[in-house]
Amino acid sequence: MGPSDSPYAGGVFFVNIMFPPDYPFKPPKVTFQTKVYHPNVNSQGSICLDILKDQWSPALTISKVLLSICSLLTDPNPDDPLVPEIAHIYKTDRRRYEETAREWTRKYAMG
Amino acid sequence: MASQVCKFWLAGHCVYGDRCRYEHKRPDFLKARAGGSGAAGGGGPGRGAAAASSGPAGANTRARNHDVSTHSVDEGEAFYYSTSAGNGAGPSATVHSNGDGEHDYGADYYAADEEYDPEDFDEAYEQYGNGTTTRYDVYIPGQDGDARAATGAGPASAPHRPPAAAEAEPAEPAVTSAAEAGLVVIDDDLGLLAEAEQVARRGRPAPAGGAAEAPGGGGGGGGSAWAAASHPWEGDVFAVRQPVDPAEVELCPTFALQGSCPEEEDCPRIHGLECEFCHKHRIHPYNVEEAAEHRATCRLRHERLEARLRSADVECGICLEPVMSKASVADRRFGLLACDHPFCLACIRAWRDKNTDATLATDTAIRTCPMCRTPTHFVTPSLMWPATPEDKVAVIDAYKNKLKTIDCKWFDKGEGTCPFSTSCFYRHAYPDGRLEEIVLRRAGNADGEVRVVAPLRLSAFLESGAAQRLLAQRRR
Repeated sequence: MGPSDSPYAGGVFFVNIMFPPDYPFKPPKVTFQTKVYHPNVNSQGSICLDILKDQWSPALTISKVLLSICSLLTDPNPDDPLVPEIAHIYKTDRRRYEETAREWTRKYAMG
Repeated sequence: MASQVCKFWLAGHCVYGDRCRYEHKRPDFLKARAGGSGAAGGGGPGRGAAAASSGPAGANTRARNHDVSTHSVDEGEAFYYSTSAGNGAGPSATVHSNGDGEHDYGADYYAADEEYDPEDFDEAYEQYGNGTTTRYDVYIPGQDGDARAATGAGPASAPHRPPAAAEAEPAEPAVTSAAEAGLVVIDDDLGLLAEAEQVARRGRPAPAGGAAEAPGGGGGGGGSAWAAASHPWEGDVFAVRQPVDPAEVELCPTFALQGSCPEEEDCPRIHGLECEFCHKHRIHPYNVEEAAEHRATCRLRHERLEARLRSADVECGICLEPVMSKASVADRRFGLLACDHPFCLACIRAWRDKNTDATLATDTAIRTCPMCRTPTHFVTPSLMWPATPEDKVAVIDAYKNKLKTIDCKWFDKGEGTCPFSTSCFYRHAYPDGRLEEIVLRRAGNADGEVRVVAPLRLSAFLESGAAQRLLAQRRR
């Protein structure tokens, strides 16, 4: 579910979680199945989130990871973008970004 | 097992009876000493006291002497002989004399089996011996009589002196009171007054205070009787050796375990005080060292148990299982970090040591606590989860001290170099035992700031980023 205080509100986003054999010593691979318009999520659904990469900790649980992803949806990190175009729009024209994100949510994450 | 004598049987009773897998037979060497008459036994150190405290009835004393358990000789105990003054059951037989016709009283109490001619016992055996349960009942005239006198055990005490003893013994007043007997003064830490009285009532050696009070107490004079008997030299009557220190009397194992003893007051061993940790009667009232030792070990065990219980529910932050419930015993260890988050030793080591994956940040992810990211430089194994910071410091110090005794495999007794240098926890010693002397290299700048420099190699300069840039500029 998209966070209510974000342009993703109301959308249902599916994620695919792949556990490596040496989990929890390696981070799980989390990807969006649903298309998301977000500076840190690319068209393949890959998520740019530090705790899923080099800042992984074995004490992290899947619920914590999903919570982190939710907060990433609310607060994108345009300084470390996966999709620089979206990050640029987010930085320069926030309204346009929100409109596009809402539209994508309606289009791909609802119904 | 046939060669071993049942110590419960020696102590007077064995619940297994005929089915006992140990022998119900007196040890052989005693038989030899006793002229082959079979059974042997000895009164405990409390024997004389028991006799004295048993009141006016001599027969009663005799009966007790037969019932009461004794020190089992196979345990290397000194051999004791009970006083059985003037009892009706067989007065003269209890007296024995040594070769020169003088009664040797004191020796009764002190490793007597070394002192006596076996023949001395024959008489007693013939009187009492039924082949299995005979005790040596040796009259110690002066001691016993005087002990009774001292304790005010009643009118019966003097008349109970057997005639033979009276003849042989000039009947000097050996000791007139327990106080004069010069009791071995024992640290009174354990000797609470009630305790002393209890002991005195039991007819057992008591601390000086308790024994001194006992005669005044009338009936409860057992302790002083024992004391008088054990210090006969005070009255210059007997030339004897050291007395049996009550501290050397061993604790009654039955009482220690069950809190009760079938022998009750007549037990020749000491009934210990209750230990505050294990709640068994294992505290020796007189042997301060033994009591302290028991307390120390018991406290340690108790603390360990508590720590185990406390640790039982602590879950590892990585595998999310209670560390103490891991399948393998070897895995039931904590790895302590700089912060206070618990992990299995195996989990945290797997995370820190085996993780060579370049995708993970070493300093901010791997070398930190997985829960709170507190940087931690080393993991300390611990069998329990420390309750307080002090406990934790103690565990870490113990671990470091232990590592200091192990040779560093990097240093390799001077053959190699240790990458951890001064920070290495392991021992850097040469084959001759000399420890490595670390000379720190210091570098000072123009401002007077001095810093310690790690051992440097030329390659370190050449490979550094600044050097690389410099070289690149030169090339251009």
